Amino acid sequence: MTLSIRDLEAQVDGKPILRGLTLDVRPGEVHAIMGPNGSGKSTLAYVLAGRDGYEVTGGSVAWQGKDLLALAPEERAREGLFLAFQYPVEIPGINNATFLRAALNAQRKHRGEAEVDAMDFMALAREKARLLEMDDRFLLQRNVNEGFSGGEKKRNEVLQMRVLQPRLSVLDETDSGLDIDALRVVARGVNALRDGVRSFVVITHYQRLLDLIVPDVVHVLAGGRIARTGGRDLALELEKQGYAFLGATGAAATAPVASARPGGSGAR
Amino acid sequence: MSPAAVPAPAPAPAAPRSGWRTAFERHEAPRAPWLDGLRRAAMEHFLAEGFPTPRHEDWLSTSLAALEEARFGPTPLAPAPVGCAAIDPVLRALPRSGRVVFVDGRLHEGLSAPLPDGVRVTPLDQALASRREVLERLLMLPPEEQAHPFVRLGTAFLGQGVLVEVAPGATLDGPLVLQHVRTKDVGPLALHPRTVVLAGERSRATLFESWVGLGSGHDLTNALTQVEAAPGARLEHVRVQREGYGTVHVGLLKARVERDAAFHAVVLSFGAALARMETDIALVGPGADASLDALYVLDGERRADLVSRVAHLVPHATSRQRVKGVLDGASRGAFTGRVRVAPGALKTDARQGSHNLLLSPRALVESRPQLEIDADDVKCSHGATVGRLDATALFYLRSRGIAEAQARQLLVHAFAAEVLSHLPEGAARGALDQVLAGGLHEAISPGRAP
Amino acid sequence: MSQPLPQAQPTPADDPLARVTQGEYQWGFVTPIESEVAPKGLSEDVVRFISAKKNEPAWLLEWRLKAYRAWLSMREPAWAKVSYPRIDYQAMSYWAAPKSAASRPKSLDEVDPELLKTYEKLGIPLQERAALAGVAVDAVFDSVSVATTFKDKLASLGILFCSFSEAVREHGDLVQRWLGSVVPQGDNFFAALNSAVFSEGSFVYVPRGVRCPMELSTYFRINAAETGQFERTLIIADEGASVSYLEGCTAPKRDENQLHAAVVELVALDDATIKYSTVQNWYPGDREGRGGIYNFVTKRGACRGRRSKISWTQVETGSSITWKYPSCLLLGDDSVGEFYSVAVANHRQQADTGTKMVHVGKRTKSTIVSKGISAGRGQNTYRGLVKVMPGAEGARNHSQCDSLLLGDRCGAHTFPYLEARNPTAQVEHEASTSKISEDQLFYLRQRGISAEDSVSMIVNGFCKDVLRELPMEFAVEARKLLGVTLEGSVG
Repeated sequence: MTLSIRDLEAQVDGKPILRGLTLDVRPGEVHAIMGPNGSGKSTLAYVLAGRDGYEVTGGSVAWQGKDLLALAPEERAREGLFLAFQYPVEIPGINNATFLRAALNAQRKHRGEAEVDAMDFMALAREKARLLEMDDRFLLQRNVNEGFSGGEKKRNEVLQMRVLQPRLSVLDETDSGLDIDALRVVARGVNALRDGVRSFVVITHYQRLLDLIVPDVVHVLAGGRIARTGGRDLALELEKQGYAFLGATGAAATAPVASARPGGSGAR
Repeated sequence: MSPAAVPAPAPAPAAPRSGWRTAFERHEAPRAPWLDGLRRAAMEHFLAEGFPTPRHEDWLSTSLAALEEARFGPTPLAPAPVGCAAIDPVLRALPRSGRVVFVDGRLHEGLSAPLPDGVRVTPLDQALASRREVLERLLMLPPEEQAHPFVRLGTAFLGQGVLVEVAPGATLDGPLVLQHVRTKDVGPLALHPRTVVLAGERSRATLFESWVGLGSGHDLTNALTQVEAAPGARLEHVRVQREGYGTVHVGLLKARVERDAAFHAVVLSFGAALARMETDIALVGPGADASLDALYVLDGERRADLVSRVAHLVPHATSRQRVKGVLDGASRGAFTGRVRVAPGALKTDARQGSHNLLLSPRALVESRPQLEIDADDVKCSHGATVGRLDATALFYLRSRGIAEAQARQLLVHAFAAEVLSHLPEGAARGALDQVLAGGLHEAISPGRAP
Repeated sequence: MSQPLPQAQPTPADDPLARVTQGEYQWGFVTPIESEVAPKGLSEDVVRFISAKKNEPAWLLEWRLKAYRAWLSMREPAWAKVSYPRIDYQAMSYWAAPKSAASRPKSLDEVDPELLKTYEKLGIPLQERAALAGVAVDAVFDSVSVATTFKDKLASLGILFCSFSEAVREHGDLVQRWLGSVVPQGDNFFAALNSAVFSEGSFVYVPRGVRCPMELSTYFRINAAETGQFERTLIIADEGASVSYLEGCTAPKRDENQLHAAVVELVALDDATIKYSTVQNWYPGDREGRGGIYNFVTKRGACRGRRSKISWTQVETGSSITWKYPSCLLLGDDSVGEFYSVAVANHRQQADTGTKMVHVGKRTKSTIVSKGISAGRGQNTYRGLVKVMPGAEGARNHSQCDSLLLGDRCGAHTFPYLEARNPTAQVEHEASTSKISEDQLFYLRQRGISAEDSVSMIVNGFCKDVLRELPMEFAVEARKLLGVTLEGSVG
């Protein structure tokens, strides 16, 4: 088992968001997580990455046999967990390549590997960037996400993913704000990482991303729990019918649906 | 003791500021003996210290030497009735407003107009008796605020003024105008009116204080307005200063803004030989919000010195300041704006901008924005610019057939009118637009060469 | 001077912000060298003593005495936002020299090996290996210049680079002509004090049309106890000349405060360019504010010539108190002044620093970029003046002052003064203050970068516009220094 989430409960500013979420992700799997606004999708991503202000109040998360929740954010990253941010952060003054090399070397050091020097790094980064149709400007001349368009920011996230080669990638609405061409480029970058070992949790609102990054499992998150689990066809069904089956959509976050946890739905 | 006892023909250098002492002895004290100690102490402090010199950090741009030995006459007893509405652009623009009129420092019942529902205005001398518990607290300013020379004078010469109380929950259906008119030929006269404004919880009101002077004598206005905005109150407070060109106008505003209250101060300063307009705002409750929009327009040899001090004393309060200056002739203008964020005032959001337009090679402008920040989780910024009219914009207008003088006026107006752009639409803003256009037109004459 | 004894306030060890801003000063060693120290106190006799020690000409003694008399009538400035116990100017010594320097070394081989070791520890490329770095060095140890490298090579171009005393001996006319021309003796309290008792410093003259082919550099070191350091630097770039000058400073850890009151004067004639870079790392005192240098410095450049340019870059990480406003008088038409500054106030440090740009000539231009970082209980103040005089047609200024706060007990203050007397001038000032962004910190940590490194990267990014103005070797040093200075302050 790569990632094993059990009865996870978490709150933000004292407000419960996750209310007993259970989910297992095995090596090589791609899980899609869909759900209405406010259902807790982004909260799940932040809780997994260890962001301050997302307070875990119950449950557990095991990650390759370790207690993920006990680790600092950078330790989780070094253990191979990557979060592609919904809103990548702009950091003025820090060169994109400098930043990415620092991250790569921090992770390599953690694994007992030699650091990559600047020349080798540039060769590596260029190669990874080519597939994403990004040129040297992004690496050498620009600061981290500073002044990037929405599409450029998302591509930069995928570039980092490709360079860092994480065991588990959590993509938080990576498709938001992308046109179809940009979406294809991003999906190509993600798919190229699929090797039967690396796993992905793809958080999205829309089916269209799942046409390009085909999931093994689709979950519907509602009221802070997995409400339904199915195959690809579940995503297609949701596309047609919306989340009406959950009952009042907006209320889903505050009123957990009684039928939200059929036996074995989240825990495969 | 009295300087009159000194048999010297000229004012004795040994007794500086003797004119002030004489005036104090002659002052009609309010019928509130409990105030006497406070008033006397303020006078003694003032006599000992006098006015600050321009070497003093807070007074770099204000020369008060002429006031030191000034001798002002007594307030005339029966003010001459004048057609106030006719001479005050604020009243012309707000013909149906509730109003309280002072002529040469005295409340003029005959000229005042009925007040809107939800507000009570009490002359200060009555209020000192009937509302003592409220006023006592407000008049006993903390020592650091007492130390201001004009606060001392205002306290020593306390007497004229009003208490304005907006009832909790009330929404005034129109602006209330406090109008102060100086007529001609009443001799050098110093006025120290005090206005106390209590905006009740969740009340909404717009209050104008308008200063108009008809003469050109060497008068002094030393107005102090104290505002308390109770939780949830919304108050717009507008000062329009159009005093005579010989007058020294000192206008101090001190506001306390409580939880979730919003206080919006507007200052339009056009007249006076020297105008010193201060705005002190203390944000004392979370969610409090303060705005200051100020404009001064100067020509000739006139001076304006705008000072603002915004203190963020609690977390989660916001403030915005926009201050603009338009300077022509050999005028001098200065803005000193201090934003202080006290330790622990987290999530403060404070912004300030000061922008100045220099129209003449002989004018001087100074801008001193200041940030003093002792809390870390805050967002504070300020910006300041000095420049002239944009040559490209001027050319653009002229290329469309607009005469240069008119094009310049249009651009100056556009620059100045921005201070009103943050006011809500309505009668008050419309009135201010007219006042501003009129004031600019007078000060910046269209025929002036570039 | 007495010692401030503030309350101990240990920061929790698990706070990464705290870890980043609690680094130790690494340059705090004392060199065991015998020093010759003047008796404590200041009087006309002491001024005469210093002048005599240096075998100075009569005009310079008179110049000093005039300064001393001016100083007697002046008061210590109180307007800066710094607080410190009263300085007893009679309780310190105004002259300290390593004894072995009594007879001045003729070459590096003659320099006291202990001194050379000191400079090695400081990482100063004093030896000829400095050639690789292309840096010519003048090193001032306490009050005496101990070695100047690369003199011959520079001399072949007509460039004079030597200690101040040597300049007085060998190039007295130049010194007499320009000394005090930018910072007169009575300019301010500390400048007057310096003018009376200055002991050493550097002198540079770059002749007409010569571009100095290497960076010139001075390292200052205070070693002896209970002494002040009062060096004087004078740099003249003649018509069409250009020079880049670097200055670095360190001092041993001592529990008492020490005074450093230097004066730097720059003169740029027509089409000349002077770039002056400082990495100031005087001992900042310990975490509780004990000890440290009082750095009260007057630095000013006069752009006398048309199209001349003076550029100040400073990275101020040290000193317990910094009071310093490197300024430009833009006299020549089309002259340019620049000020790039990073100032750090950590622990109990207080920095009140900024610049003055006085626009006199037509179309003069100035740029101000100031980055203030406050951590621990540090107090950091930017204070600046931009003044446009009536004749400065078409003058331009742009100022950008940003403050970054690390921790909730520090302060960041910004006091810019703008004064414009010419309607064709354009003056723009922007300032912002914010804490280190949690979003940025989390983003970097999510990529596997440690909290300390993340803070250090963000701080370096924040300072980038200034650091890139530094010559390459200095920029690397400054970056490291920023990291070390803030070590232990982050979260």
